[in-house]
Amino acid sequence: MSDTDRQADLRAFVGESMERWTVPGLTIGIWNDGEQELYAFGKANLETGYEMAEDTILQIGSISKIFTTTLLMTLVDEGLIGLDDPVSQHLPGFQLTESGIQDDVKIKDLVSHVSGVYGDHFEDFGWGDDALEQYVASMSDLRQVYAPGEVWSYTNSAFNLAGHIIEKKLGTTFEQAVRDRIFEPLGMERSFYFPHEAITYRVSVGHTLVTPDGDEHEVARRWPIPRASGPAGSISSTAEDMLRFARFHIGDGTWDGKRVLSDDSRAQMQAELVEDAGLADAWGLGWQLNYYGDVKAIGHGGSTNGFQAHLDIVPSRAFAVVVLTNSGRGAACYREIVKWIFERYLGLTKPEADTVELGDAALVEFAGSYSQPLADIHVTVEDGGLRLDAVSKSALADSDEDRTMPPVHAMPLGGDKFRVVGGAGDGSPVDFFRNEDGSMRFIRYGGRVSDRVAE
Amino acid sequence: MALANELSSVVRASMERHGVPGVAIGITSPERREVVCHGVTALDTYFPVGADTIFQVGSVSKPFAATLVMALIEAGQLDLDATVMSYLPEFRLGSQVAAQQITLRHLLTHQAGFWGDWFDDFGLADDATERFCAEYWRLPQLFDPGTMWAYNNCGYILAGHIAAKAAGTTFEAAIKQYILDPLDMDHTFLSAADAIAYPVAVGHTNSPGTGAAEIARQFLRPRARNPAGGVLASVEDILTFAELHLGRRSGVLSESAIESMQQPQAETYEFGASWGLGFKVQQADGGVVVGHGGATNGFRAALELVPERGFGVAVLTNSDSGGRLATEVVDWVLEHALGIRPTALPTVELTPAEAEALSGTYRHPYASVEVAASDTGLTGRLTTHSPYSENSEPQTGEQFGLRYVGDDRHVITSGELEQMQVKFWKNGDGTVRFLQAGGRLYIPGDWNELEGATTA
Repeated sequence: MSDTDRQADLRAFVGESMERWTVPGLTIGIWNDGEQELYAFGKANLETGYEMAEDTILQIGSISKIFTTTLLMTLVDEGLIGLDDPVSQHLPGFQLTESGIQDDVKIKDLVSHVSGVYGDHFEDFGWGDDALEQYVASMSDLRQVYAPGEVWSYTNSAFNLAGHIIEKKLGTTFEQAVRDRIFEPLGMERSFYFPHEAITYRVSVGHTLVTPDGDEHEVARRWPIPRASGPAGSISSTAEDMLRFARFHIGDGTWDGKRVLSDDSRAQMQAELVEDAGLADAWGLGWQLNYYGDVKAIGHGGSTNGFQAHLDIVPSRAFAVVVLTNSGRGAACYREIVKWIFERYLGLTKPEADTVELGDAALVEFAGSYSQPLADIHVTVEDGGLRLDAVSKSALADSDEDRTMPPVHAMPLGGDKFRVVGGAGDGSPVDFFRNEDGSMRFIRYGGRVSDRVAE
Repeated sequence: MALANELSSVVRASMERHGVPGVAIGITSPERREVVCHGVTALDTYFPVGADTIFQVGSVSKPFAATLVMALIEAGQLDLDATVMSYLPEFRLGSQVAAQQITLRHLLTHQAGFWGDWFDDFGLADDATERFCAEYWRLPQLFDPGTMWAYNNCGYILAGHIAAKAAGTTFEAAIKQYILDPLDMDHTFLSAADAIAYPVAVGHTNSPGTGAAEIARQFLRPRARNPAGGVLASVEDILTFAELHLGRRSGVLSESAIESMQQPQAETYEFGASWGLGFKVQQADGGVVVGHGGATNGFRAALELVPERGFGVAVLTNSDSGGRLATEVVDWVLEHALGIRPTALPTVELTPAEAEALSGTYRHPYASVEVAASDTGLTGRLTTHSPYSENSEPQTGEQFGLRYVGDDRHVITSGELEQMQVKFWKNGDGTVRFLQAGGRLYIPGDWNELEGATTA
């Protein structure tokens, strides 16, 4: 079958975008008008030269959180868990964070990033069936960063907690529960949590930049995610399987005539729960929400060691697109691709908020140092906006060395909001939160809050 | 080099004959190292096999476990003749008398005497091997420790566990620390999680109906089995390991430790074959061959060394039918490079009365052999019903012929098991105590009457 003009244009655009960001390989799945389109570009492995194929398995990272949330909702349907139940109701005796907020955090807070629990906790408890249980026990030592519901900040750890509550309720492992309740009913035969399950198929390796400010990619050797972080992000899958999952969430909660999830629960996941979210316009249960005028898109991204991916769905148009890349800079590429596809397939563009002029006297209020365990961010005033210099480390990377990131320029949008302009993170939000006396409390960048610290 | 060119055509013919998708062969000698690769890693991707492709090597892992034990002995952490219970006071077997007698040497030479093919799944956690070994009270005792040889996977798992405990870490971390890191073996792993970022060969089984190669989706998993068969490695790395045992790599074992591993310590039931520490030692026509084979779901491997010539050959395949290829290739290489051949076995007459006395059904928990007297001598038929196989139905093989070669030993003359040796071990009164084949002991009576078997 020959390409339509649009498909040919898409191939050309993706080729240019991959070249621009030196992304080694990616797959794309599009569900449009009841038709499926699958694409494969580039290499699955820069060392071996293996070609990417439409059915190559890649890590989807945090898109896994929607599986965890969907699984949670099946238990809500059965009356086993209530979204407004406090965590303490399901884990008696468990202390959540060093402040002990288990009575104040609700189940729904865990899957909407507002619990206040420190989020980037990736401690490895091995491959045993008790990995999640041990992980959750270790959450008693985590910091409570803000009061439950006070701020939105991306919280991986809370999804692992939700996963453990689910497995405890069901008396099975978390991974088995997802297999039984989602993968198998939806016919997702190439979606896996464990490396030994994926390894006999066509699997991509991840690639990371040799230096953060360079263009050269190398194979990332640390492939697996610790089992204890499975609910937060350890699924690997194919574009086709991901479209099955997307179509399920476009539908009515059934698949092949069988009920998987109540339609109410499916819809509730997509309803706006948090108005001000750091990585999207708003947040639902698991889903991020983005508004294209009146049209709502739901979706989620994923980023692991050498893989970045994004799923975007427009339920009202029965449309879905998934881009799975094998690059640590894949987000720069998928952002352009998804934008292009939304324009060309749906005629949807996302209006960007206008930047405003802010004098240096106002800007200097934001300047200073901010810190969280995996990043130090130094903010200075530059060219009518802010310059962010970040030194970060990743808990999942081959090396735990600090990486000095290329400087980022952010322009003011009014209030305490900014937007990154240019570079790989173009368009990303940068938000500030103040103490009651007006002094700076947090910067929220990359979806996480960091504390204002002394110089 | 001419040998490599000729070898390639031998390999290709053997791959075709046996339906083997991919092969990596390595040869090391004092002069050079050569690698010959053919075929594909999997029959759906068709990626070419290369010198860096990671294969499952199955029981070729046992020499790794034995090497680790020897390294820890040299470090003063273990003693070959100390009992298992001196390291694990809580150790239990079906026979508690045997449990008190068994030493590390018994484990490495397959002389411990307990049932060694129990493989229940204890998952992927760091303590999987420890929890596995805590269940050995289930294992019945077949013979008194040190009195016989019988292939024993559980014995190697136990040795691996003791070594890991002595090293103060997991078995996998100890292998890395004591063997892989000192030898720069960076394409050797003990889990799919570590191997998946490298080019990996996928196993193939043969369809029960057509014999056609099918992809084996069940990859190595239960971690407790690692000391007996969990190594994943490239042929280049297996050659490096071979060179360690040929005395060309330093930093892991002393010369005397290497030599002691290759000394015959236990006679087996096969002609000219004995066991050292981790290696089979075979007296062949023209030299002594030291090595080990390996078999996992969809993979067959072989590593054979001729230490007196500084020579080693490794064959890694991604097929259940790769065992016959490995034998053919190893035999060809040893003959053409060194003039070493398998020892020819004699034919000895078996009287009808002798044949009749051997007839009967012999069993172990996952298989039985039916032996019958016929006009031409003895015939046999093997039925397997492994609880660990993907296929739970009993599989009955073709009837095969047996040729008597003397000393109560027979050789299978036809079918898939051709050339396999079979031995009947007799009681004092001439009745059969064990039939031994494939390294395992089969008994004429009821398995549940063995010492310590009631709870197994």
